[in-house]
Amino acid sequence: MQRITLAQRLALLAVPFLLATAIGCKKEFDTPPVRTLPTGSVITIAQLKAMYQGAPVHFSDTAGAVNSVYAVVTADEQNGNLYKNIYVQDHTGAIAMRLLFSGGLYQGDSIRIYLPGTVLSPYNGLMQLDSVDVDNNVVKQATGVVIAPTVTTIQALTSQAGLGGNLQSKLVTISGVQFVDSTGNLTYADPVNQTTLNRQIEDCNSNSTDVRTSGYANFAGQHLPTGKGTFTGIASWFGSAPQLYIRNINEVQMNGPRCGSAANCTPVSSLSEDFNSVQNNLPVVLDCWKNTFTQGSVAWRGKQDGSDFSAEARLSLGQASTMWLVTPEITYSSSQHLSFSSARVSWVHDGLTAWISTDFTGDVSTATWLPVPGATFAGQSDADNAWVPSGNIALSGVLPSGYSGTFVVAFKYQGDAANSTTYRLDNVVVN
Amino acid sequence: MRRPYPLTCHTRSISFRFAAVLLCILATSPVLHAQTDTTDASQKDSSLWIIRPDTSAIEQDIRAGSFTVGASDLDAEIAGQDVSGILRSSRDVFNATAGYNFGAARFRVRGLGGEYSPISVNGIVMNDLESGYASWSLWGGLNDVTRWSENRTGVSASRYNFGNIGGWSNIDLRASQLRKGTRLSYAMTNRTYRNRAMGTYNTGMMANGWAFSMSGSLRWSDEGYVPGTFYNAGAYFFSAEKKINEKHSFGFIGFGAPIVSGRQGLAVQEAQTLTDDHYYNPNWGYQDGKKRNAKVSNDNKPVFILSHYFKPDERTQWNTSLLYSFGRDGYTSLNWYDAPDPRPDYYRYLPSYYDETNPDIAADLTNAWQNDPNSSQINWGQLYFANGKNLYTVQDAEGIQGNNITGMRSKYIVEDRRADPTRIALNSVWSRELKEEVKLTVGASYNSQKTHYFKVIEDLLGGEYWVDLDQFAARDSDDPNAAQNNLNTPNHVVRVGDEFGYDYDIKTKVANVFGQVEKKWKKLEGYVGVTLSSTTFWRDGHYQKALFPETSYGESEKQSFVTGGAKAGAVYKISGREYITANAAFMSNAPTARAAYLSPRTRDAIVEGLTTEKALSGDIGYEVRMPRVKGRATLYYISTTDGIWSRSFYHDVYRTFVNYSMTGVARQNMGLELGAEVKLSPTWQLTAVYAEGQSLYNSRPSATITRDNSDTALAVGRTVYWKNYRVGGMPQRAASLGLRYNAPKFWSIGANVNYFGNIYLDPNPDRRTAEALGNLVVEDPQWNTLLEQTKLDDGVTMDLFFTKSWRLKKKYRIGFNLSVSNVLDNTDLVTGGYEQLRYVPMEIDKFPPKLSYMYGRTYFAMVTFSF
Repeated sequence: MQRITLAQRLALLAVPFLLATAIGCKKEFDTPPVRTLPTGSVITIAQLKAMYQGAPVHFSDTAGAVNSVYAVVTADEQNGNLYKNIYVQDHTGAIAMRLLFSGGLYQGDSIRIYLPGTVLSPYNGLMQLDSVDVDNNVVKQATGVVIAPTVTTIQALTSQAGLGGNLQSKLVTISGVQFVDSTGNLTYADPVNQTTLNRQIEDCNSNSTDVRTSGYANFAGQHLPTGKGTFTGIASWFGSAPQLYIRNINEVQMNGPRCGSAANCTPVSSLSEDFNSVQNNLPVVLDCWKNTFTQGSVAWRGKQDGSDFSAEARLSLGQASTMWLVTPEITYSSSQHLSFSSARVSWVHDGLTAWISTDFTGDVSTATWLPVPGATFAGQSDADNAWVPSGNIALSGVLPSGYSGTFVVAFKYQGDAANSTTYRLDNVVVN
Repeated sequence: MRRPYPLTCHTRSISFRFAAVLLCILATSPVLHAQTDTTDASQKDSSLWIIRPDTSAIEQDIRAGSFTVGASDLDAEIAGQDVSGILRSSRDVFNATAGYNFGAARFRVRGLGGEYSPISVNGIVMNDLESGYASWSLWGGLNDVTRWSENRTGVSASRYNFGNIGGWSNIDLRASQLRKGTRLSYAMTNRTYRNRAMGTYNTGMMANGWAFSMSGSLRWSDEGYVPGTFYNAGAYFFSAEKKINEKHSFGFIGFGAPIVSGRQGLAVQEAQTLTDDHYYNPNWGYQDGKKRNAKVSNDNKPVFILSHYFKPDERTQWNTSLLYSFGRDGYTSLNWYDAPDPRPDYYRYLPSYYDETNPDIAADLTNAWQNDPNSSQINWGQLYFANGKNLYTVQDAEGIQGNNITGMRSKYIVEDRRADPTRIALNSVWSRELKEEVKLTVGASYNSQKTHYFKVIEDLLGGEYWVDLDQFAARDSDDPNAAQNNLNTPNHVVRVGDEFGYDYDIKTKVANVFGQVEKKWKKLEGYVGVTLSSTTFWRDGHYQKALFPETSYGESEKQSFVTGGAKAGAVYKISGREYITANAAFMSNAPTARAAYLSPRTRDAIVEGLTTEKALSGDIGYEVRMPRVKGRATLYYISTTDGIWSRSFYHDVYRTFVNYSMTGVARQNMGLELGAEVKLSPTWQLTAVYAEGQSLYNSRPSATITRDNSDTALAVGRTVYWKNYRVGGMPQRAASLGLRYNAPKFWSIGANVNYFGNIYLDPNPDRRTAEALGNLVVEDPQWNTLLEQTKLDDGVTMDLFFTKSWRLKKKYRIGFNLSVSNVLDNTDLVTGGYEQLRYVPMEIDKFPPKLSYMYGRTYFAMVTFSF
């Protein structure tokens, strides 16, 4: 009988042992080839909305069909006020999108919407792109894109936010408004029963409209502010009337005196404004200052860069714009000097100028404007974001000697798609 | 003299008779464990219930392993043995049948789970300290060496530890005790795995005082019985022993069993009907034409034991062992953020969700389910597609102002949910024959376990990073910080291999002493035993969660419990062939950390009213051992009170996990066990087994319902009217009739017909509350719909087996075994499942039960070669 040696036994055993050590590692899966959504022909939101001719438009991926729309998300579902429902905007208009599944798109996302599979149709006067599957219909191009709110009025909403109106679904800012209820007892919605509620805001001329808030919004339980101020939100529509949606509760700044108890704008003898109270990206609202535009749809906006606050004139989607930022009335004295700082971003043109008027009564287009001589502005040779002092400018060189009335200083910005430099303004001092 | 591996017990040499008999008894042992619940019951599926441990993989393995011996291969020569050791040992025909033939239907002996049956290795209890369950997968695939275990069911004497009311097992891995020889085997099967190769070599005690044993195996399949499952397992074992002198021996044991497997998930009946498959598995989908499983478990927990075997004199033994174990345990799962649920069987993707509101969509979905695997299974390509274009900017990543990271943020990931245990245990047992027929055993042990829970990114599925935020919190709070899983690293950006989500340890320490006296008289054998334990557990959080900054970080309050127990039993010998047996125990068991913590993932809150569970168990039996007839009849009664019942589930309206915890849960199990083995002729043998049980919930527990993302309880002290509902998920009645032919020339063939009945779905406690019934009147049909317990259909199966062995040159042995289970391919027998805890009182059908079916026809064929 042949004896089996220890070595032989071990050799026999080695096979499963070796295999045993080799096993236990998992099979890694390859990444599958990346599928892409074809771009196809591209249209604007205005063109998209115009495709509706009375019957729902079902987009398909047949050859030659319209395929893509580029837009920026202006309101998302993050705070719970909107659900399976977001708003997007481009330079031609805005539209509501209804999502098949909640989530995935965020404010500031620059997206391409691949249309096949979606349906265009209005609901109670609000044009919607329905059945959007974020995973299958949306490609993100960039993030953090800021769309400036369009400055408007309640009256304008009523006439222009309806079906076909140019304000529909846009991000808007309305100044000088207050909630009709001034008690401070009401909340935006009912978070306990998760019930959606409408609240009214009004301007000082008693034009009013609804602010609609979901009971699921994370600010549903907050009390309505009792003051007057600016409201920024989405100009939606329901039936025959506008309906505003808050996209971020911090964009409701209504802390000033209510209508009828307006602050007294008496002329001041000196001025020093550091813009520390502005809200980033929202229109500059300062007591007795005037912030307006005579071209385009946006005015001067607040800019926060770390702890540095300033006023900023920036184009929105390349739209040709003229923006005015006018100081309160100042009583002239002969020794007065004006100084300010300016900065520019991505210089292509000199867009900022400074002016003085003695007959300004609230409308920049009817006042007489004299240029401020000798002021230094940030220009081509300066670095981006660098503050450039204007120099100390004696006002005696502008205003006639012996003048003792009041005057205002205006900072005027002009730009368009080809002349798109962004300008900032800070530390405006007159004394 | 070299003998064949003593598997078929044709041992004739007197000198080997004793050992062979013992081995044959022990050899059948693994069959006993089929009823052991081994899987981690608390593992959370991102959305739905994990209630029932999925034991299929382990059960199958054990069943497969057990058959290599053949439960009824034995005809023991038991004269002259300790009667109490033989009675109710694993060779008992009832226990063998219950383990093997009934195991496939999830039959549980006496209705008890594995937490009531400690399993020890060289005396050290291996049950997971945190869950109570014994994990057989620790030594899965080492059947050649672990089959030599000693097992008892019910209350009985033990020289290893006190045991528990379900019984106990001890596996002896001492090298000198493992039978000398070499054994190689290869098996083919179509169960969990398809191939198994195993090799074992034991030296026995050699002249130089050394004994060595080594064993290894591989088990694998690309796809198991259930679609989309796969199995890749290795196993290694090494044991060495050195005999210093007649009194002292030292031993070292090291083993491990790395197992990677794709798991099965239970689905609702609608999904099974749509796919025309009772084994429909929602866990997988095609990726590049290959099946990929999202739930892959991956365990590797090596165990090392140092032992000192001390024999001061002929009548005394003192064995001491030190154990150290570490490793990884975990399973992967899909996770998603701000995106649709990627699981194919999410209830809103089923046609029934639209049946009434939109029949067109329902018809489309039905068509998709029936014809498009990308609808009925996970659509991996779609997940990659969505991730690959989800451009996103994380502001202030890692809490660093201005640290903005832009890239493709994964909406869907595969995460690895880890529960890595580290364990140290010391055990010492001293026993002595005080005088003739009196034996004293005392022992002490200390067991310490730390389980580290955390998550790791396994696969970003085409995205570039994942942001570690709690989406449930993010949606519900206007505090931008509320979603932070760890305030120390806000807006944490994680990539493959990074930890995230949660990170905490559960630490448990158990100290135990026990003592036992056994005594024999002429007609009577008896024993009494006592035990005392101290259990302490606590949570140690490593993340400070924004929602619970005070209760998530650092060490929690320690929970301590002192428990104890006493047991006694006796065998009265009516004659040398007839016995009356009786056993009884009363004991308390500490709650496990797993049941005690309401939501350990987020905080250290514990179940209110935490206390020890009390258990009372007794049985009385009659046993006969005639030359041609062997059998027993046993009546048992078990009562447990003050138990805890904890489950959690995803609630998509609350958008979070809901934790349902009950205290004061009582159960009562009583029943009858009958087993008989009749020799019809020298070659024909008949077996008959019958189990009739009644396992009931026996109290009105008090329920507390909490959420993972809120301290505010949804309900406190809700009374559950649960009394007399049946414990579900197992047949409470089972019978088997077997016939076997043993040919003189070393082959045999046999068949069993099995019957299973009284199978119930475990009741959802919340449906049995006043709150669920609301304003219904008794006459309302919905009243009964809510309250009635679902009884499942009875079933019949048939098993066949064949064995044959050859000897070559008087030295080699070749064995062949074939077993076919469920020959009639009965695929309609529901053996498990549960009522979903998520339910709508007036729309019970909205969240129907999930069901699991017994496997259809399967086989296990093995060739062994030993010398």
